[in-house]
Amino acid sequence: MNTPNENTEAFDTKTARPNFWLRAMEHRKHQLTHEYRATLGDTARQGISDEDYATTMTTLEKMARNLGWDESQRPFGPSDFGRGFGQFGQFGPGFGPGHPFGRGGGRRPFGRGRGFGPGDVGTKNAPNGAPEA
Amino acid sequence: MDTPRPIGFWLKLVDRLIDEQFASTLEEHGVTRRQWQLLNVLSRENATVEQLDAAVAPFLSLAPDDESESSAEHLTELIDSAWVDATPTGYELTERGRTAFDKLAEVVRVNREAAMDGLTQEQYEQTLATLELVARNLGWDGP
Repeated sequence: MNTPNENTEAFDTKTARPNFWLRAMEHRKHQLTHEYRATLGDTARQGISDEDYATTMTTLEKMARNLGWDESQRPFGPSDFGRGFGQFGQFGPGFGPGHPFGRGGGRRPFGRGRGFGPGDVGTKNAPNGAPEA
Repeated sequence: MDTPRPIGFWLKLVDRLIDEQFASTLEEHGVTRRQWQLLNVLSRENATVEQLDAAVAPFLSLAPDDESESSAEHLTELIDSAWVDATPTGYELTERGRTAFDKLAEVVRVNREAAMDGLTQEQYEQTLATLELVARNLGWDGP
């Protein structure tokens, strides 16, 4: 079967169906995208030394790992959502229900209200004992 | 993995991780992202709803005028919670709101520091400078 970029000399364009041209356009679009991306890297790196570029790569990777990512996780995609962010937990205590600066306690029945619920303002059993300002 | 990942991989990944961490932190404390932005603006100075709309304009949904998003709807809960006062001249943080904002700001600050753990200030600043240059090389012409 002919494809848009193969055997074009032998292919009679007069008999081509619309689908052929749609595929031809799609193919060319991919080619242009690929060519554009190939030059994009050079454009993006203008004026940046190899050393600075390497520092940036190292920093970004370190940040990703600090934020809970590791090689076992898929970097993108729905199944990755919510995985590996254990650092949040360390900030949770002290701001849970009963915190003196709480909002939404009871106001948000669908998941909010773990935080600074207004109904809890001034609660004496505040986890961190923070005084009411 | 032997093949180095491209910078775009790390950029997208870190961007997503930071977004998720931030959203999770705010959710944990019962504040929406828009409310956090409004609190940030009000923590600096009192503002009218028009000024608030302008301050968070890049984040408000674009829609026809009759359906467009306004800061006013996000302020309602903050007012109900006595974090924000609606005055004749605009909106202002209450003392309670200021205290809560300061607490939340500290959580956000600690989160940010945790993301930078093990990195020097020099590495961080160099990375920011490089990313800005990449953005400008690609056509960004912001301030």
